[in-house]
Amino acid sequence: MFQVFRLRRSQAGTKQGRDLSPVRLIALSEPPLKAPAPTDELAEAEQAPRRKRKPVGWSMIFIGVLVAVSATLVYRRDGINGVLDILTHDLTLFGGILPRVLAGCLLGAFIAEILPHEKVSRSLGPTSGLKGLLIGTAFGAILPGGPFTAYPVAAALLTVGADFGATIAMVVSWTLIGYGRAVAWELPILGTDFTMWRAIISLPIPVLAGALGRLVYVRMYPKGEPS
Amino acid sequence: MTMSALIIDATLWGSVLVLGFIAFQRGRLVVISAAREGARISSTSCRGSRSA
Repeated sequence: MFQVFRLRRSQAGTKQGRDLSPVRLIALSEPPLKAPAPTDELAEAEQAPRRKRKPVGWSMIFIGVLVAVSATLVYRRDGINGVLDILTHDLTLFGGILPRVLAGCLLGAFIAEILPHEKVSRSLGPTSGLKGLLIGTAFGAILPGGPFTAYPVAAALLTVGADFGATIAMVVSWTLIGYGRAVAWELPILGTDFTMWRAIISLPIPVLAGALGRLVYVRMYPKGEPS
Repeated sequence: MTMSALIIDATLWGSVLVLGFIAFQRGRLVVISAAREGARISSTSCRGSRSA
C-alpha cells in the first residue's frame, strides 16, 4: 500500500519561506543530494512540467487480480457473508490508517520545510561521524507512529541533507527501539523487563547499520550522486 | 481504541501541530506549501501509483 519516495526541493528554496521553490517526488532508490544542484539545472527543473502519473499501473493490476482471486476463494468457502465481513474489517482498518498516513506525510513535509539544511547536513550529513549516527538513532527511537510516519520523515531527512547512514540508523532505530511498538504491543504482551532489556541490547544495532550504510554508499557511489 | 494507540496518535498529531505552528511562524505560504505537499504525498501513497 505504501509508496516509498522522498521529496526533492531545489536548494534555492528557503526554510524561511520567503521564496518557495517547487517540490517534486523522486524515488528513494536515488541517493540523496550531497551538494546544491547547479543553477541551470534548478531552472530547468522549475520550468519542466510534472509528468502525469498513470492512475492504473502494473502493480495496481497485479494487486487487483490478487484481490479478485482471494475474494473468489473466500466466496466459495464462506459465501457472501465471509466476503462482506472481510470487506467491512478492511474498510474500518483503511479508515483508521488514512488519517495517520496524512499525519505522517504532513510531518515529513513540515520537517523538510522547517529544518535548516546546513545544520542538518552538519549534524546528520556524511561528515557527521558517530554523532550523526547517534542523533539518527535517538530520533528514530522517539519518532511516534507507524510506517506511515517513519518513512515520510526519513524521506524528509534525506531531502534536508541527512546522509544514507544517519537515515538508515534512524529507520533501524525506529524499527528496533521505537517506543510506539513497545508501548502498544511489547510491554502489554511481554512485560517491562523483557522490553527494557530487548531495547538496551538493540541499542548498538542502528549505529552499526548506519555505519554499514555509509560504507556501502561510499563503495557504490565513490564519486557522489550518480547522474 | 486502546490507551496506547491513543497516546501514539496524540503524540503524532501533536508533533504535526507543533511543526505546523513553527512553519506558520515563518509565513502562511510555508504552511500552505508544506500541507499541500504532504496531502499530495499521502494521496499518492493511498492510490499506490508510482510517483513521477
